[in-house]
Amino acid sequence: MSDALAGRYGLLLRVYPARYREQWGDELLGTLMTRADAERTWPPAREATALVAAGLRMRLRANQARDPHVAWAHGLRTAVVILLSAELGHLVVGNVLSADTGGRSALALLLLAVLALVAAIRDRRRAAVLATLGWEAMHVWIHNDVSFPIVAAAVLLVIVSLIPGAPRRPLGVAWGLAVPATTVLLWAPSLIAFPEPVYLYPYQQSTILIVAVLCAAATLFDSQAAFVMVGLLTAEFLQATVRVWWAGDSPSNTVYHDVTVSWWSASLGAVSVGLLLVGQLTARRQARL
Amino acid sequence: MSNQRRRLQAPSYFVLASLLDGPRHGYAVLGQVEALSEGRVRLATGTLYAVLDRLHGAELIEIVSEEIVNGRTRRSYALTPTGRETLRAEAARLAADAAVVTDRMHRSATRLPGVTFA
Repeated sequence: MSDALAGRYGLLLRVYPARYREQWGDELLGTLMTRADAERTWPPAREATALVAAGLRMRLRANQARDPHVAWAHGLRTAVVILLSAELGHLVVGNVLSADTGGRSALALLLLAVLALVAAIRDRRRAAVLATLGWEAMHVWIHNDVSFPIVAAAVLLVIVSLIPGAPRRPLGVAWGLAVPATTVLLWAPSLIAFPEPVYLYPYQQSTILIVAVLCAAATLFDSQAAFVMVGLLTAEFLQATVRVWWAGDSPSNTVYHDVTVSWWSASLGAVSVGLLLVGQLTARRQARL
Repeated sequence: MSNQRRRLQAPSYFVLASLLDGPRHGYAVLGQVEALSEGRVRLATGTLYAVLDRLHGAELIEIVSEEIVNGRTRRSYALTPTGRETLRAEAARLAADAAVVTDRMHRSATRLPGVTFA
């Protein structure tokens, strides 16, 4: 047995995540060395390729769900966190751009938004649903319109709560960075051109399309990516399809609604259905032992 | 999803099958998988341990002993009752899938004069 061979195998094993190396590394190296010819000093190509491929797969799939239900629940919940982060960023940027602090009601809105986001990140599902509904109600009361991303987040949270067998999985505190990240991503032209107003609709549509393509590619490695994107597209689909308004300036008056299907909303619907199918098939394949 | 209902990929199927006769360590599992599959499944060592990690995580196999050989850890693995049941269910499913073809071939062969089905 050559020390050089053991050293080279040791280097290849660094491709694996630390947790895996701790549990299996020593035994894996022992088996590799038992299998090797006495004179060999370099790993055979087949073994080296298999080690690198298995190690990379393990790193890419470190958080992969082994059950389609879990993939649905965690994917949709991640979408909720992104939607709420984007809306919280929208709230803050909107106030800054309009130089309007908004007084007590705006502060209450901000607190509800932060509460909803923290509850979603911590996977406190009931608290997240209540805070999100409260946020939407407050938004309607203050701004006199409906925020579809918040509505979509509430609907998705209810769906996540109804999925059987999905254990709670709080996300890390680093997810708090989703607020500045989504703000910069969705509002970059306005932030750059400030204080000049910018028409953001085409930019934001392109951004959503690019993120959808990236998520579709990520689905090859982790089925949850498909469900994340479906969650995000749900908000965009509602916004593009449904219109709700009311007489005067209070939703307690007569409420009107309208459903309009455009090429954009039809494309969003088709992409969502496609992603759901691909996500479900990938989740089932990844659930195989 | 319960483990008994989970489908097995070929490497997992043969690794579980290699443990039917009793506990084995990793190197012995590699040899037994190749023998059982008549050389059709030759697992690389990295692939074997990825499979063992998955099966251990799903509680289909368990570690029954651990020793130090040449300064390195060597564990022996055995089927758990769940692993045995999962393997039995997968073998039954494969047999049923195979029967779909063999039964139809047998029926069509018996309908054709002069054709026998071995």
